[in-house]
Amino acid sequence: MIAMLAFQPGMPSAFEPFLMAISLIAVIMGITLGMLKAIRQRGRAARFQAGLIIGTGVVILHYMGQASYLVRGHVTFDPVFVVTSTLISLGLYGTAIVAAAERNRRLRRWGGPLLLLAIVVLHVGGMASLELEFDPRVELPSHSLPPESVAPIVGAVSFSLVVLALLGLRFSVAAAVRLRRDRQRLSELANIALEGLAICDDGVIVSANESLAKLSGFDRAELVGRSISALLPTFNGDDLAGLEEADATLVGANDIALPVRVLRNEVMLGRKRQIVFAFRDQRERLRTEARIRDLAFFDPLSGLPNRAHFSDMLARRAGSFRSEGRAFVLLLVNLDRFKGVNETLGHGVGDEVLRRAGSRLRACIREGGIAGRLGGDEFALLLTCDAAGAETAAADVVELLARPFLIDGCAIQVTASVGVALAPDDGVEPEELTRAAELARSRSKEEGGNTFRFFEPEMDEHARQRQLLEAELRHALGREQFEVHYQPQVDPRTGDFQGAEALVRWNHPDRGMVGPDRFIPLAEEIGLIGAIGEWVLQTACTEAASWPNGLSVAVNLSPRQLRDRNLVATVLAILEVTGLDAHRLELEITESAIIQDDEVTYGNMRELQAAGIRVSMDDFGTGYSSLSYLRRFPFDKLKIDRSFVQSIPEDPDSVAIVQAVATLGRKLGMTVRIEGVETGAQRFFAASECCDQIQGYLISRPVPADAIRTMFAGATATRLTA
Amino acid sequence: MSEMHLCRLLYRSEAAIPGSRQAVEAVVDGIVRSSSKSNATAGITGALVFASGTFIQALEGSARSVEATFERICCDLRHRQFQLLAVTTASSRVFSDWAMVRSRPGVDLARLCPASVSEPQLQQASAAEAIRIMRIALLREGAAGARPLASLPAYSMPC
Repeated sequence: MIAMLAFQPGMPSAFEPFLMAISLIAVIMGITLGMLKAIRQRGRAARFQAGLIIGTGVVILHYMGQASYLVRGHVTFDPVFVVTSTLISLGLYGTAIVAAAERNRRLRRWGGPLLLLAIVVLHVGGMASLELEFDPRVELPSHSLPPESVAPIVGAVSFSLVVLALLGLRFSVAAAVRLRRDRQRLSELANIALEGLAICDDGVIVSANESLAKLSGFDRAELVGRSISALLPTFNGDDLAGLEEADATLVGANDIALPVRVLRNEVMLGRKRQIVFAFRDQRERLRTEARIRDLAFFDPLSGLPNRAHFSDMLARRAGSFRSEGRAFVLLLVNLDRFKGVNETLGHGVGDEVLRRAGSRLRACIREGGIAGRLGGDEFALLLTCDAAGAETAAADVVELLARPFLIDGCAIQVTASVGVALAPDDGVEPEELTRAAELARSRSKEEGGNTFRFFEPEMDEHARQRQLLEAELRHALGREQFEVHYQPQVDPRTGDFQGAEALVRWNHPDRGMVGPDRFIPLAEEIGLIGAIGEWVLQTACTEAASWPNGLSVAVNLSPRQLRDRNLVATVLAILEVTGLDAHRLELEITESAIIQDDEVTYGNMRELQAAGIRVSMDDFGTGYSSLSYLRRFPFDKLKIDRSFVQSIPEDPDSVAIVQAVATLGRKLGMTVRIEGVETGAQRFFAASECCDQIQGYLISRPVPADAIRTMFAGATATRLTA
Repeated sequence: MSEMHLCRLLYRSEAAIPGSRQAVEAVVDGIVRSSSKSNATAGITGALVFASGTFIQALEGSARSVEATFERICCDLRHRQFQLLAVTTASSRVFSDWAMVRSRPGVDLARLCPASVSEPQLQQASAAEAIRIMRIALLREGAAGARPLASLPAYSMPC
């Protein structure tokens, strides 16, 4: 049109304003629609179509513009030129738009010139097709516009449109390039992220990183196009607002399910709002958590609940009893002789025994029962059952733990002591029940183990008494409540005094005189025996030092005293202080004291003997009476227990035993003493069997110190006067 | 057949299975089935005698698998009065597979064992002793064996 405006036809001319306005509207629409299409749609075909739309707008502008051209004459067109130039220019428009949006910069540069060429081709073709013929009869209509006023408007509008179109396209292309670059950077960043990332458009993955590929087992390419709900079937993204996280299960390749933590976030990518899913692998964390939980609640050796966890469950059961009223049972289990396993076979074997004991206990629990390891060789069972069920379970525990453990080719025999407490009969509170079960278990232990006992109120009383006795015993020494009594020993043939055995008594302010059998085991257990034993030794030696020369004193040593490394020093110091000659002291040792083949014990015995003190074996015949002890240590004296003497001389078996032991002692060069002699016949028997000493009620019961002193003084006086 | 570090053991126990004779037999059948399977997997050979409520079982195999099998047996409450009669090491197997032998009704195997196993025998139980004890049991009861006894060398050896 610009060319047409400049066209000087050599005759008066003008423009029809209506058609011209339409042609301008057409070109504006054509360019607008074409550019919108070029910007919105991708792909060369779409851009080519956009170019065609723009071209069509321009073609309409052109030919309608020409149609609005009025001259005083006739205007005709050559159709060949019109069609040819229109087709060529449309092709050029399309190519120009395609070129302008090309990624390659060199191609992109061709956009402008091609567009210009399209315009030129259209115009040259259009002008060339125009034929004018002057006819003065034709008048220009009155409303027509002169070319001078149309020219600048049309020129400016057309030029601006073309420029704007090109600029718009360039901006759009630049935005697309920036978007692409952003995506590229994001994807590079995403690939170095540890978390799996997926960018989704409408619930479909459009991009995923390497970590997600690794996590899911799918390739990145396989992930693209997959719907997010296929990866996270249990996950409802709508539940997640903003930056919140949620746990979900990721279903990866081969339907492998993984625990993940999902973070969902909306981001702007270019100008597009897209949803990014981040996946954090939870396997390691869950494993660590499970391990921490295990360590906190379970015993690593047996895999059973530990003390804390078991106590919690016991408390919970007590709580549910208060609401539901269902009876339950607590069993406390302790392995007998387990310490020996650890000591002789090592802790490795000991641990294996504990581990297997734990799994055997598991075999003893019925539905709803719980086994726990409270520590060391202490186990517990919590069962929901009645007394009959508890009895079955306790019997099962005793049975299974009594079976041997075969470890490294070695059959290890351990047994169990079980205490049973029933809720609510024996209490409901955990402390109450535990105490009851402990008391019952102690009773099982006292009865030799490998058995079970139910709690009985009497046990409570017994324990209370024992506790009281223990408290009083701890103070007895300080309050000087102990006394030493003496039972004389004589030669059965002559009746001469040879000495006396020192026997400790507890002169209790309320209970009266308490015998050693009632408090010595307790003193042993609570560690008081050393102090009491030392006091007895001191007292007896002091006393014996005042007796006529030649009379000796016999003092009992407890197993614990014998294992004391300071025993010899203590004894020698006492002899020194009291001035008693070592030959006048005799120390009596029970078989149970030397049954543990202990080096310290034998060392003490040898040193005492070397110092001139006599060492005798007490109560021979009542324990294991292993003759190997007699070979291992040269005792000075053998004491035959009173239980054999009682039925002498009527019972031929007892007679035979005493005769044999007496002979044995003599042959081994030991002095033989018979205890518990109560009749003349027994004394006669002792004399005839060449026993060296007798002791018993026939001579005298144990008497206080002043009484024995009087007894000895009288005998010496009699002998002196005789 | 020669394997190093073989372990062989022998135990006896009393069945503690409630119910009728048929019910007990059914439970024992179940025990035999599952033992056969697991013993084959673990490479355990041996023999089980069940008579008049008494089980006598010999097991041999690697120390590890015998220990594991024995521990499993020890966790079983379907038998009681458990007595481990012998544990020995051996250099070769005497049982070619694992077999089950049952007694005829009326034959009291309980009387045979442990009466046939005297205290000193138990104390110094050797592999030979274990076999001897098993042999006594198997010979007396062999005629009623549910499985071919040819698989038991103890049976074919002169007593």
